[in-house]
Amino acid sequence: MRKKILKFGLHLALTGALLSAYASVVDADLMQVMEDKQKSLSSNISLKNAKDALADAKELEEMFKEVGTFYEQKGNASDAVTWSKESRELAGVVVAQAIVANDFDTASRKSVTMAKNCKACHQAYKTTD
Amino acid sequence: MTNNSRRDFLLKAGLGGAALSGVLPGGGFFSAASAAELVDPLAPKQPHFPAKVKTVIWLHMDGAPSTLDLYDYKPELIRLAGQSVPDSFMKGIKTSTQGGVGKLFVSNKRSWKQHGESGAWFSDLVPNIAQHADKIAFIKSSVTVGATHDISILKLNTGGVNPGRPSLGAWVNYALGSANKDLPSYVVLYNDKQEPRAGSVNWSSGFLPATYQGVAFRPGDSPILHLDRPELMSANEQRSSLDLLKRLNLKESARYPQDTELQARLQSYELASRMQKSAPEAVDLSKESAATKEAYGLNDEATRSYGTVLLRARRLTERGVRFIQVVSGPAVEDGEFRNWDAHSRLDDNHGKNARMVDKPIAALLADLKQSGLLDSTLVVWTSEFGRTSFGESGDGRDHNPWGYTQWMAGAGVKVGTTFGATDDIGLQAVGKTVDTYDLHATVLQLLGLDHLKTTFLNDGRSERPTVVYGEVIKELLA
Repeated sequence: MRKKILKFGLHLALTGALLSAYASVVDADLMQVMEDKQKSLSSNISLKNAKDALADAKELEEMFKEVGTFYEQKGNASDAVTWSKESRELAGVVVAQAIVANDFDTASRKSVTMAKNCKACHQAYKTTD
Repeated sequence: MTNNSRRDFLLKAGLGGAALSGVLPGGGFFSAASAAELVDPLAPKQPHFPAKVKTVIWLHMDGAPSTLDLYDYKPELIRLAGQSVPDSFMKGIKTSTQGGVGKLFVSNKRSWKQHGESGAWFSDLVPNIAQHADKIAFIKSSVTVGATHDISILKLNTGGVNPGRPSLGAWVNYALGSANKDLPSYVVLYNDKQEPRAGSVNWSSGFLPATYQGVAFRPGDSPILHLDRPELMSANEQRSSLDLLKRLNLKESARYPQDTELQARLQSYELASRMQKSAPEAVDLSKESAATKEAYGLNDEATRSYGTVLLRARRLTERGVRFIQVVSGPAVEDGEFRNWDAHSRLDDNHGKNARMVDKPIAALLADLKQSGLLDSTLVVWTSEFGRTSFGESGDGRDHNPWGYTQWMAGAGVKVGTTFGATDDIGLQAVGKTVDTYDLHATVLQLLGLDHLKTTFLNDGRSERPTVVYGEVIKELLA
């Protein structure tokens, strides 16, 4: 019996930790990292540093995935989910492809679109200025 | 590590060229042609494509006017005046109005008329600007961040909410150089006894070399402090001193060609020397006609100070100054009417501030048009944010970063048009919005500069005026 209680308690703790991990993934620290990464991407595109720009784009793709998952689970945030999805595609596909093709002009413009999505989401969901 | 040993290391490591890169618009490595820029960082530079505009006159209305009381006519707001703001209009915005969100406010003194062929709406507060309706392109879906004046003014001028970024004028100065070697290429004007409250960070060069910062011209006959030669020193003595200083600085500069601060210092002494004559002449209004002075409101106490500043702006435009940043000063010396920030008593506040600027701005537009300068000049009417549809303190309005109006007039602009709109009560922008970065990108475009390619390498990172944002609003371009 004691073992069952301990097992159940452990299961609860793990589930709580997992939910907590998703619940806390979108916080000010992640947003700061994403903002810094966007600036790095913009800089590397401007410098035509394809290798580092691609790495930045792929990292941003993963982070937008986390943001999208967070808002999906949160619920009642369909626009945030849409922005995340669009930005994920912009980072991982559109910008990345442009960089690979050495089309840095397109990469630059599309990274601006991505940054604007961030702004739109902040306008709706950022809790502090 | 000394400059010499650092230079040796870079050259031996084969990084000499790479270490000096990024000073040119568009970045990249130094070429032989770049050597001349080291000698004169303000040497004229070619834009990315043909420019429509040679000079920008940036009219900052300090304190944030209510464009709902100037340009953005809202019959629905008038109909709903005195009622609570319907919930649908508050969606997506967070307020922190002192005393809470008030009822929708409309002044019973306000009247509206359409003007010009464009049929643009103007209120009774700006009857003179209204005569130039067809010279103006309105941006009615302007947005920004609206924490406090200082932060939003900083964002208006530099694109950043923290100090450290170059102002738009500094970027223009950096990217295009000077068109008149006897005057600063970037000048700040104000009609106040002290410098604009938000401070010199708003015309700073930020991380760009110091030579690109704005130069504030003080009101009065002598625009620059300590510019005049001391009485006890003759012109020859001054010239000899400057020549010695130049020889010493050139010698040092030859050892450290990458030291842009030293280059700036070299240039500034020579420019200051030339400005002893050119700066007072540029702001000397004594030779302006009586009709011109009357047009700019110099004969009226209410308009004299701002009119003087705008007449100076026109003279600087004639003399090839590239970016003229004009900050509106107090309509009334002390108290709550010092600027447009009407949290209360909006009618009194805007009555005085509008009277101060209306006639001079109209005169500037007419004067530029008449002289042909409007064909190569861009006038931007702007502020750090707008004001809310809901009232504050009963008869004022709070800050509104969610939707307000700015306008542009002059070369390359699709005049007589309006881009964007606010909702039916003028609270939030609807449709495509125009953020500060977009305004900057559009201004740069008119100057022949691609904002995405106007870059500077700062600590290994390529920076541009629009940070990571910015979109040229093509609908505003002729």
